[in-house]
Amino acid sequence: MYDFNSLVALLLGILLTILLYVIGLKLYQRYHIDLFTPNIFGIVSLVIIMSIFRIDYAWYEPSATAINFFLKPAVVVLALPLYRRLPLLMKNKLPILLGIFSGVLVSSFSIVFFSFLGNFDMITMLSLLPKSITTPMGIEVSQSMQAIPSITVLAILITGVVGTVLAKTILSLGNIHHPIAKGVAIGTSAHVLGTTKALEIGEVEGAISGLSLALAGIISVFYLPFLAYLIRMIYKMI
Amino acid sequence: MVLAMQFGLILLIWQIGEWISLTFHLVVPGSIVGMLLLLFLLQTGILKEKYIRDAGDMFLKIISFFFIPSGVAILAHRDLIANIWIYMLIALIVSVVLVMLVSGRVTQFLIDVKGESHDV
Repeated sequence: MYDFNSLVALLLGILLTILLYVIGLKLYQRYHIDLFTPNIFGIVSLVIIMSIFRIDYAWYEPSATAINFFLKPAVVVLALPLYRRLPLLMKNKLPILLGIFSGVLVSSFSIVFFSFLGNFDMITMLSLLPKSITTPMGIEVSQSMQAIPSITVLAILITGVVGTVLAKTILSLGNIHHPIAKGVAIGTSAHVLGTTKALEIGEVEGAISGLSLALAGIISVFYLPFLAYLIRMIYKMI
Repeated sequence: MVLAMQFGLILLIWQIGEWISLTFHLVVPGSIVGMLLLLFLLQTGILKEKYIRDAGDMFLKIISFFFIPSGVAILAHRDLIANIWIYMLIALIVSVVLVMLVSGRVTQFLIDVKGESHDV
């Protein structure tokens, strides 16, 4: 079991993570830079610190395991915002659901296409598939597909950042002007990070974006493991 | 005290979700089953929102903290993406543009066809 040193490492790792998160939170509150969210700050600064001091990831792993425990109940709690926004769905069921569904399909097809084009190995491809859904769900799907959650998280963060930056340009390019359509587009493609942007554009956009990210997540959770199964079969054959 | 009980309730629903997922050999992870279960309980009114509101909102406020280690774990898989990261980045950028365009266009089109006004 744990000797004294590894116990100290465990606590230090957790404390360091909390410290960096709080610093990130303070910076975010003061400077309001969209993309400088506390968790992006936390991840980037931890990666930089550990690279500079050549700290092996194994040192941090026990702390990671401890914090990861809360990921699963955190997913359960996502029912709450979804429950609050579900009434929004009722008046425009078909446009919203079909929009989200097409987005989920395009997301997975484009990843499969580019993975073949770039000659990524299969496990990387699978890890990239959940890149448009919210992080806690993405980690869970990634695990259930036996992919690599950290690659999934990286892909989710990049997707969120890019989606947020390009949102306004893409929406006007595509002549997507109805508030509901804007919300669906942003929530389905750029999850929580994009939703902050959607909230800036308008109240309806923000609420629909929040609804869409939750529904896109749920659809993906059922659909992606099935797709992963097919992909594994195809890889076995070739 | 109230907060602890609410938190306990969330953990309980999660565990039931894990149990369902395991027992029926679902591909859907237990946490997601727990989420759907909680949604069902709220939607049917079996569980009132106020019974988990405080702990739930507290959880949601700091939820992004819990993802940090999963992101940092990329350190352990650096070599896997070392050679492809630029292609990966391009793939992700093109993909997010496509997803946003298609999902937004589909919804916009269907709303236009329905010819409804801007009410929500």
